[in-house]
Amino acid sequence: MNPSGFRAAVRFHLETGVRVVLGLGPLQLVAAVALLATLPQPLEALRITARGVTDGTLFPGAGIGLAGLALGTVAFAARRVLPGARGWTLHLPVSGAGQRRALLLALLASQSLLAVAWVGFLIGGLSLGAPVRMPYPLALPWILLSAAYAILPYSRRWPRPVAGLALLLSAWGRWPFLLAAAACLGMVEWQGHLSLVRAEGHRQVAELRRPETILTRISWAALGPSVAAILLQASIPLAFAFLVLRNNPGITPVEAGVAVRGGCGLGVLLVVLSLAGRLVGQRPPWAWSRSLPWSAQVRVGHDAAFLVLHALPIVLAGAFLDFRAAAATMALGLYLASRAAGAMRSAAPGLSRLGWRMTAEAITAVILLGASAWTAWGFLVLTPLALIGSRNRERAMKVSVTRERQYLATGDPTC
Amino acid sequence: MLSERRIEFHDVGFEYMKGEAVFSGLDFTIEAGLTLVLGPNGSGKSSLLKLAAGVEKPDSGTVLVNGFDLWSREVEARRDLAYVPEQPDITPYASVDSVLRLVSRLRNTPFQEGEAAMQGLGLGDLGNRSIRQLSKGQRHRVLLAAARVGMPGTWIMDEPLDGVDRAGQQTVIAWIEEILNTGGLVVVVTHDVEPFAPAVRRVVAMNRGLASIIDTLPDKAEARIRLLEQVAKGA
Repeated sequence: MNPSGFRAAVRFHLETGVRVVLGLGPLQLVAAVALLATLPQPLEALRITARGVTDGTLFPGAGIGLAGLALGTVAFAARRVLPGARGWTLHLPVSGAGQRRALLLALLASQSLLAVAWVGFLIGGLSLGAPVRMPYPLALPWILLSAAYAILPYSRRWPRPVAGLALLLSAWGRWPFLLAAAACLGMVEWQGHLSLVRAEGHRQVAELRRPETILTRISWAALGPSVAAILLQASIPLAFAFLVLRNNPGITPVEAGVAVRGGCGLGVLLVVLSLAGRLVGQRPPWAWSRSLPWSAQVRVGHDAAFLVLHALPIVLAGAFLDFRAAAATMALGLYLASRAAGAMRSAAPGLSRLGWRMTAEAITAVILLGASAWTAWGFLVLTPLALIGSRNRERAMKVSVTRERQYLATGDPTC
Repeated sequence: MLSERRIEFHDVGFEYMKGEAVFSGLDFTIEAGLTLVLGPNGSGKSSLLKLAAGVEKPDSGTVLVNGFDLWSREVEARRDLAYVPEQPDITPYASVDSVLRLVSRLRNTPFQEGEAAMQGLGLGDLGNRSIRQLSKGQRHRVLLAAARVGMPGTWIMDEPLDGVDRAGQQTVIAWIEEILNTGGLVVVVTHDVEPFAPAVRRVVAMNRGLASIIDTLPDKAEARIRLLEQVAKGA
């Protein structure tokens, strides 16, 4: 094996794994906080888990739970990590085993938050005086490694089920099971040749009635699973609004409205700006499509509708807390989506995303809405004007220049 | 079918960067038949086609396609228009099928036309492929197939034979002849004048953003090709 080539492959894949942690970490934290918030005695639940993980009384339940989380995490990470191994990196002077190990490291790195949480429970258990019963605490590396092996693409059929079996055995956390799991993983490592050149499958696009729906499908294909990640991130401010209402029983209706409008508005802002920014990078201006028989209004209108529809779940969730506040936030969503559809067509030099002006405008709009629900009427009135402005921006865009700049700034998404 | 196809440039000015005019005061009409746009590199041939196809908007003046302003009657002007760019810039996450379906829907024609055009260009089995998975030549052929969907009568083509094998080139030439036989308008930018020489009716000679029309071409094939090559070199 060429050590420098292996190092390059490891570094390349590891960076992707770390990026996955950065993207997935906030979501995992939000999910954990949300789960704890629903429990009647969250601190007691944490104590029981810490003791159970340390002394093994929670096994195999804790092991199976960790295995499920690990598998979910690597499945998410694999969508980012594995495509990188199918392209440019294949030309590096690295053996198949080297590529596999580099990918394994990246997938292990993507599970680092789970590892941190597990170690945190162990430390907690020790500080609570729980006895350490081996080998239960050692199940962690087995589980993480098995999950990573179970998700890799192999040229043969058997390695994945064998790695899956290793994952299941590891979750039991007892010596015979761990040894059996190690034997399974050893077999996969020895004979499990990767299939890295396999082409990605693409679903047949169904017959569709309107051209806008085809554009929607293309936009979804460009965004991939990041839509779900963006929605989860955008639910963070709403979760805070929920906690404010839950932990302050004496809050007045006016204060509750401010909290929900602020949380919900910030969530809508995050959805609209994040999605628009990603679309600029992943679905850059498409010069040729401007020669087709559809108007600039339709193209801009589609993008605005696409953005606002994706913000709808946040608004609906907000409606459970305060219906009127959520309705006001919907007006903000319409306005921001109309403006963002125009900002996506910005031709300012060096801009790859929406630019600071759009961000500043959106933050100001959320502050105004948080301060007074009446501003929602203003946003409703301004929405048609924003759409007209965006349409004019779409027409006036020097698409050849914009496209080149965005490709230069964001990196070529076709690679 | 439209009675008389034409593309009109009325006092058109255009610049990519402020203060660096590519065109100013362009004023001429391209009528039905085959028109070659020739000139040296950087003379503005591709930019002229982008303006004619509605891909770029002129900073001043108007461009009319079959009597409709490209930017105030956007849909009507583009209804009978097909554009094949030199750089096949299809959005990368679309599949070949979704691109052809989009064009079929916008031109109100059955999707099968796109599939037939794909077969004609030897791309019959690529429908499910993502654009990212195609080579530049394949992307170019996808756009040629998309141009064929709905059989529009006004074709604007930038180096249409680039990246196309000999059989594909013959298919494209046959399509162009078919359009011309039904009273269509075809504008082609090319450095390879020979395949188009027999059918060409006029030439737009571009040089440093200036356009001049050559309406009278020699009848003899050799003399015609020689003239076209000279114009292409900017002589």
